[in-house]
Amino acid sequence: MDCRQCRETLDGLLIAEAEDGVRFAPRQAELSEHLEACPDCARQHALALRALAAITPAHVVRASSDLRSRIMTAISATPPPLSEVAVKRHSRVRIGRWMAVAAATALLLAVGLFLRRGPKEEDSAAVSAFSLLAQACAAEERLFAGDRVVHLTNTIIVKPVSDPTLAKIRWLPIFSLEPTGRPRFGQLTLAAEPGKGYTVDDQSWYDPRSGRFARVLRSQGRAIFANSYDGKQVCSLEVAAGGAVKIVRRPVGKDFNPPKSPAEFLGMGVGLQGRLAEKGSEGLVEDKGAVALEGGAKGRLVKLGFPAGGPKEAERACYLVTIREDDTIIEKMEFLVRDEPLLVVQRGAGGTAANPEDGWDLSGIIDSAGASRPQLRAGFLPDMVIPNVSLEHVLAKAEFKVYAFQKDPPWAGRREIADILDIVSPPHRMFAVTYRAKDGRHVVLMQSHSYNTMLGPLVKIGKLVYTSPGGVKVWSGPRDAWLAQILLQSARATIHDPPGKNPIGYLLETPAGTFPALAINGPLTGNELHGLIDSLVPLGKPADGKP
Amino acid sequence: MHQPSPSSQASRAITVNSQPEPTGAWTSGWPQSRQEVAAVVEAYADRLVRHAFRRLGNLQDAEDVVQDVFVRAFADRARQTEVAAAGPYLYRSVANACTDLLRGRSSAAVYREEVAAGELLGGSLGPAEAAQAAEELRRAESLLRRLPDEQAEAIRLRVFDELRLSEIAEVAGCSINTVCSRLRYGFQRLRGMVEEKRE
Repeated sequence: MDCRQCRETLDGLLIAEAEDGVRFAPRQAELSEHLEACPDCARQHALALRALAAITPAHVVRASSDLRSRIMTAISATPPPLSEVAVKRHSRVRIGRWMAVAAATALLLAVGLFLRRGPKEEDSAAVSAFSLLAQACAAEERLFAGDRVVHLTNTIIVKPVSDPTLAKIRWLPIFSLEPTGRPRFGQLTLAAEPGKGYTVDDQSWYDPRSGRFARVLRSQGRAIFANSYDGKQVCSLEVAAGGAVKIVRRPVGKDFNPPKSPAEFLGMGVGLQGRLAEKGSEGLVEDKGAVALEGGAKGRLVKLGFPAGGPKEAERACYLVTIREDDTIIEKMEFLVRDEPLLVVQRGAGGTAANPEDGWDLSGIIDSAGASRPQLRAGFLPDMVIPNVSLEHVLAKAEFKVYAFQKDPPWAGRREIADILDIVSPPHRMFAVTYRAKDGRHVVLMQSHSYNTMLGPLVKIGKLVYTSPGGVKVWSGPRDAWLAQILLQSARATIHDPPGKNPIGYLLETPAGTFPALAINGPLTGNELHGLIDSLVPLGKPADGKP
Repeated sequence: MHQPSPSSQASRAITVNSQPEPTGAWTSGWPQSRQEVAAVVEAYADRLVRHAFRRLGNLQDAEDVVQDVFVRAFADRARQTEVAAAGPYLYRSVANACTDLLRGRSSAAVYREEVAAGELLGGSLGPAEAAQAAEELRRAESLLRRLPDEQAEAIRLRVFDELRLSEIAEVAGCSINTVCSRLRYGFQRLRGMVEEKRE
């Protein structure tokens, strides 16, 4: 080999391809011989090595261990032809994640703080059951296909429960659509007196040709929630404090698109797809065997549990989903805590219809509801979760002094803040400040009226581990890990990952007398913790360094 | 400082860890049964996720895109009978899906810079290693972006995605000779950049 041949070999380094498939394989023996004798070519060779090293990642990206099974599960649940899957899925997952926030946040306070811990239940994985649930989600989407108006009727059964706390805290998430096309996350409150139950009628209409839809929920014959799109405007039922109701109609924005995947917010599969898309969800699904349905049809009972370590898992909370064997349609969904059914959503008669009873613009509702109403057991609270809010929004909405990090944690990414309904003391709001960290050490700071009033006593059983120059105290106690699990689970919408093996939780006490809760999804050095706490400042004081 | 001798430099392997090449699936037509799809998923999941990841900079989005491509293609499998080779089709589909996703992001350009290091190995890296891996990718991209697009893309397909020359030609829709030219001239420029940086 001479110098010219050597340079050609180096130029073609990325092209060299031996018969056995080994890439970047130059004529090694001849090259070595020439390099021994020619310092200039040896320098060029070293340069080539450096250039190759500069563009060759030492760490190889690989798919998650469960991606293959997730793909095959999704394929199993996909009936041909199914178009626009990509568009639907991204949107669906996002809604599902916020569904998880809503659910976790509710149980964070309602179950986690009020109820004592129960025994843990063994996790059980069953891919076939997971696949069946995925197929049920796909079947739910098929209900909205076709070229005629679809009419679905479900009944929400609030079961008699003797425990006064459980009787009081029941709710379901409700999604509605804004004129901008963005989803809005609300809460259907389903409180009852101990030992008493009732039902709520849930009716939906969807026109596949135009994208028009209407959903109306009624309790005791009165509409408690309504949301529709009539082709030009989005219509919503609003209830004033005095009980007066009105339909608010707002023209859709120029960027508005009718929902492409109505199953995301209508019908029985709402939120289910999002739950299944969460990491590790396969291990939470269990086949509970065959069941006989009304009329002699066969069905399967599938249990969907909650991640280990969280309050829901500790209270043996789960969904039981009854799926018809013949068409994989969901027949019934039950929500249980400590094996006791709290809520049941039962599918009723469905099919095609001409138009909604109340009209696409909901004009029939006022007539049936009247201008005012007596106090109803069930109700609707809007804006259960408002994702991605600004600090200005927090400042305007907060009824207590909210703290934020003046400097973002150096290891973490972009800050996101969610404004969440404080379920224990509505209509107060709680604020979740989250950072999704590149190294997995995600940060969650939760502040709420309920925390401020209920978590204070916990500092007495904890140990003061640090006080910042600004006077923020860090308390460590026996429930640190529990607190961290809850906070991190609640923030899955933004941090994506499930809580790690050794998350860190602290209860903070601020000079303003509030008690924020802090969680970090991994180890933190003393300096990192001090830096984090030192940068906490109250919002609304620019002179103090408003974040 | 110790300088390695030319011979020891030459003996340093110019190799990259490589997975078994899915040659059978690459040239076969689009799978029609679930079993056939399972084989293709098994062969391509890692590679396509890697391909999507370097375009999106986020492992979760990359996996979503790959899953969507498989699901969509399987749902339309009856119309995919004219697909002569599954491999190039999958790479092009994933690339297009990534482009669609990025188009919807106002911060796409920034996002590509952001490498979710913690996700590189599904969270199996420690913080220091993850940061190092992120730095490696950022450094590589900072060099490649200075090349003409076609040369940079050929190098990415070759180095990151570990494709054969014939496979790159099919994905890029050009001849093998063209691929070789792009790799050759691209690598020449890269060496020049590294030399400039050193000086």
